[in-house]
Amino acid sequence: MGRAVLVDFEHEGRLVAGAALLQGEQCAIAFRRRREREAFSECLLLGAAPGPGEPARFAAGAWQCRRHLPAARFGLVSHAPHLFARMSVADNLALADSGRPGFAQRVRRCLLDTGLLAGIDPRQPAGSLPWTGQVELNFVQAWLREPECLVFDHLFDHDDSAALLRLPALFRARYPLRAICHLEQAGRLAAPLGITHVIDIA
Amino acid sequence: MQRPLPPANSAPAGPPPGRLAELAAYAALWRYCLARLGMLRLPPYQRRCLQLFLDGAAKTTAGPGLRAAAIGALAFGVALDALASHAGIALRVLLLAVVCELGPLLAALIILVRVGSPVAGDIRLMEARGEARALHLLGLSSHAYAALPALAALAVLTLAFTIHFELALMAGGIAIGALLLDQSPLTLLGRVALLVTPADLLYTLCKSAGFGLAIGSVCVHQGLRPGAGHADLTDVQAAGVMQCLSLLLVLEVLLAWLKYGAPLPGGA
Repeated sequence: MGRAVLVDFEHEGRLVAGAALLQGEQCAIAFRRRREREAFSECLLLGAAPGPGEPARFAAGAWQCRRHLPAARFGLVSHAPHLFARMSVADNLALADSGRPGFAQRVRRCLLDTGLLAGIDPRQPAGSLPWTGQVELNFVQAWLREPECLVFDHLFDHDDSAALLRLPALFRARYPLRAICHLEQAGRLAAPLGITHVIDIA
Repeated sequence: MQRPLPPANSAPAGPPPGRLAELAAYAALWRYCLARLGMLRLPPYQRRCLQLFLDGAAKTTAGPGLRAAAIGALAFGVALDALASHAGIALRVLLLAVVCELGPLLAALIILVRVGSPVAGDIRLMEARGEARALHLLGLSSHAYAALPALAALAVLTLAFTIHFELALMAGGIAIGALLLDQSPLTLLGRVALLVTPADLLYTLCKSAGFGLAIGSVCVHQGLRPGAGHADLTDVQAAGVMQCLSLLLVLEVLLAWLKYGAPLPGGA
């Protein structure tokens, strides 16, 4: 049985062979400019929902992208963490609570399995965490929402990112059938991430 | 799927809207909130509501609330002393003025300044601080997250604070009055309690909840108005306070007229 297509790409009105983000895959998308990468991540993660039987379409440079899942099914771990800086770590985590029963147990299990946010006081304001701590918090939030595809936006360009190289593997170990996608600018891809292929839309 | 709040957020930046457009924006805010009331059952919204309520309670009950209640109690005690020898009607007028009119209005003004105005500023800065984006990425509606809990928390907080404020004011007033009149506080309390009817209490509670909803609506509306984040923050807060003041005074006059001045339907 073939893997479901999460996002595919058209160039000059035609689908490009191999240029698709598939379920369970670890790929990278290389962009020519920062602006294109930002526009892509904006449309991928915050854009309109696809219509019934119709993918959501948006442009990234000269390419047309077709997202087959709602934006809410994608999770983001970004170079610039998205947090409520003045709220505590625990309150930030609680924002990921969708109301399903057992949220507290899922948080405990996630922190236990991943070893992330270890030694951090949950009452501490999220803004007082170091950059790696803030990214870990964002990662745990995304993890708790169980996204179909976890997007790492430009994360491993940061000087302190060495400690975070294990994040994709952690997600992979817990959700082997979910996809991981790295958004990078062409030529800047970190090596040891287990990327199976690069979609070059540069 | 995120659906923006239509008039308050999609209006283009430009000259200030007219009064009718402003009213339409309030109506849209109310429609939006009523349609999404069920979202308050979701944990993040509930948590935000509780946080706003507790923060507001901590800000109001300890400092300004107690000071205002102490001054009110002193005035009430002195007035009790002055009116004690008069007929019951004079005492009842004093009680009505304090319990039904001045108490809820003063409590609402304290809530407006200490809680409502900062909440409007906080909502205003959500976009600039990247919090709106963080909410969207977590699948939450930033408008609902900004509006619903603030509206609910301000309404409940105003009601709770009015009760707290009036109890403190009455207790202090009766204690001071008892000292001045050389009577037992229990005797004075019994006399006062006989003059306050359940209808007065119900009126006070409904009025206070109405004040809370008015403060919440104005502060949320001002916070969500399109603008430039930090740049016009103080303007937004000042506009919110002024609009709230006008609205509270209009409500006060209207409700007082309905309670004391309006002829009863079918009455003589």
